Amino acid sequence: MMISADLYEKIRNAVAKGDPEDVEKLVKEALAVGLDPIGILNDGVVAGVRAVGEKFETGMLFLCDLILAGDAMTAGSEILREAIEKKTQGKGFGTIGKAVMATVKDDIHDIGKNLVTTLLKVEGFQVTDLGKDVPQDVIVKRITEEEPNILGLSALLTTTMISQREAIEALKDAGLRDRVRVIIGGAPTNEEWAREIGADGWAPDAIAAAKKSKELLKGD
Amino acid sequence: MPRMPEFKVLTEDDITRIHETSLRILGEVGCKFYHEKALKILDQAGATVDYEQSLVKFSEELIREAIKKNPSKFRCKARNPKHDITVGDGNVHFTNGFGAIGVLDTISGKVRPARLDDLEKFTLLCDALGSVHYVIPHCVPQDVPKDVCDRYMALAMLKNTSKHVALTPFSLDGLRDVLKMAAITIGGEEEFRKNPTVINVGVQPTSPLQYRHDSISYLMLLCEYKNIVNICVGPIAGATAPATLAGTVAQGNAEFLAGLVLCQTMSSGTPIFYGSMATAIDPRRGAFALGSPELALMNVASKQMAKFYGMPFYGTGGTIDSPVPDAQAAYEGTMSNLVEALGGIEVIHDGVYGILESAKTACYEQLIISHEIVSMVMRVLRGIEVNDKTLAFDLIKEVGPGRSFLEVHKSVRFLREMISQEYWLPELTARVSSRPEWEAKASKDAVQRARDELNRILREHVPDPPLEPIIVEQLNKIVAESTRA
Repeated sequence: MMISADLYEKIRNAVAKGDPEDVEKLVKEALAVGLDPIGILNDGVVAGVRAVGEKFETGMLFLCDLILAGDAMTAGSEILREAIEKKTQGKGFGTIGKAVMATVKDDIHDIGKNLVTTLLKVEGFQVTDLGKDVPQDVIVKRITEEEPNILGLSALLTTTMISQREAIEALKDAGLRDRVRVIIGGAPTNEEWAREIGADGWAPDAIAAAKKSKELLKGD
Repeated sequence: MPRMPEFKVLTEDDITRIHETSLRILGEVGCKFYHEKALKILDQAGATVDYEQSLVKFSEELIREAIKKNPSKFRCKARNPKHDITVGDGNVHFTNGFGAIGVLDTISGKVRPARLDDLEKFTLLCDALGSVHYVIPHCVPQDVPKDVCDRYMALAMLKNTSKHVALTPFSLDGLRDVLKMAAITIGGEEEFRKNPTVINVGVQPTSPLQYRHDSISYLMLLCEYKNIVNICVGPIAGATAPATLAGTVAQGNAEFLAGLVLCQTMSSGTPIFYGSMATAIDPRRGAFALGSPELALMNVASKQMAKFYGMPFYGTGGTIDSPVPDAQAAYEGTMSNLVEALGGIEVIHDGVYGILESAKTACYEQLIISHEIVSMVMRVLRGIEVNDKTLAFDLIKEVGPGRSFLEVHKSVRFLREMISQEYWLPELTARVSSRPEWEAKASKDAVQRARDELNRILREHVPDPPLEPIIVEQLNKIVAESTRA
């Protein structure tokens, strides 16, 4: 018990410092002493990013701290994936849901979308990141393939907000609209715009977006 | 970090011409000293003295000697040594505002007389704000007896800050008590004689070209201690000086030099600040305008004169004419602070102004806003560091065309490493990435956010270290005795 508490804390600190090599080393060490991989993930790796996220929200830590913690989390999760799959007989991470993230067509600003991706993972989502400037047909195709619970659409510009509407229209045309909850975000957007274009949710920032996505899941 | 080139408003030739004009003013017009002993001292030193008119004329040689005797840099010591500052080594420092008589309640919009507890609170806020390098009397309390007000003010300030302070006497007896009080805070009279620079006292000539009896008696006592003296000239272009900025700077310069000769004759090597609060008349109303660009220009010009003489300069900037903490207050406060800081002024008196309405009305929220302005200006002063590391060629190569620097782990690490060196981090400024979110948090403007911040500081901050109770007791005794006398 002492060993695990100590190692979890070391992993949390290494994640918070944003040090992928250190996280990898510590995660391997934790597995070697026989700690539960799901425990390592939740109480070590994910808890580390969550702590950074809380300080980021109050302005005590910076964007770079959160990105680096996200990188460290990815490094740790990669190693844990195999151990967890073995333990759960192929059921994987035991995610709370699936999400697909995209910065919409004609928009190349993906800092916010990347943050949401990181924080969705922290909340326990399995996330597919489609990247930036994602055309409507790609979104439709991937929703069909992945059947996610959540689709997140990000836009930074007033001129690209319209692509959020077009993506939702494309889902409707493809008969997919009621198969996925759509959450939108980005600097020029607001609750009213979300309602107007028929999205299911809106969030003012990355942390709120992850929380909102969890809420939307409950509606399923 | 390498220093930025200083902003100048005068050419070498301009400086020479102003200097020569000041010499002619002092040689041909003279300066009045309403103090018998001072006239004798200057007479003995070789000045031409007309006792009947109290008028003194100075030779160039006398002035040159005095300039030579003044230290080119000195330390302003603080009760806590971590707040010591050196003036004259090229760094820019800021003080809070000086001497308001009222306080604006921004919620009711009403102004009330300044009280002693206001001076305590403003001093405590200045102790907490990093942009205030030393603290001067922010307001003059109207709720204590006038003749002993200076002792009450000294007590309020010494109790609430461990930074270097400037104290203002209202009489010679007041100055004696104030010096005694400062001495007590650093371990007594003997220690103070050795190390008197824990406070500095400003002395103003009266434009045009006069030193009043009380001002001279202050100078004499301060020189005896070799305490820091700030001879702060205050000509008003168009009113107590000629209409032109050049003429005003030349006259103010002459006024300063006249006082300098007296001080350095009495006590060679006394650390003297070349100070100025030169302002310009508002041609519409006739009062002086503190938020004017003319003020900024004359201060930078006077700084260049001080540099020409090789002595530290104490200028006036960040000052505001607006009666409320509005957009005008912000642009006035920013303009002169920025211009004067770029001009390399050693101490920008009033920089963290916190006062409105041309020096009359203190405003707590404005103090926090002025702090934000100055912290921004201080970032500008740090300039841009150029070297192999900051040019970051290898990183530019590694990230390459088309990728974001935020998607490469190494460059995000570089960002984290460089934040404190490269970036100004706002404390008050709103940078809103989502308007609805800002609206959800009560849509607070700068004044409202400043109110939150000042209340937080007043709740949490204590001077480091607090003044020991036994010392407070001794200070209280001096105040009580002066009140009885």
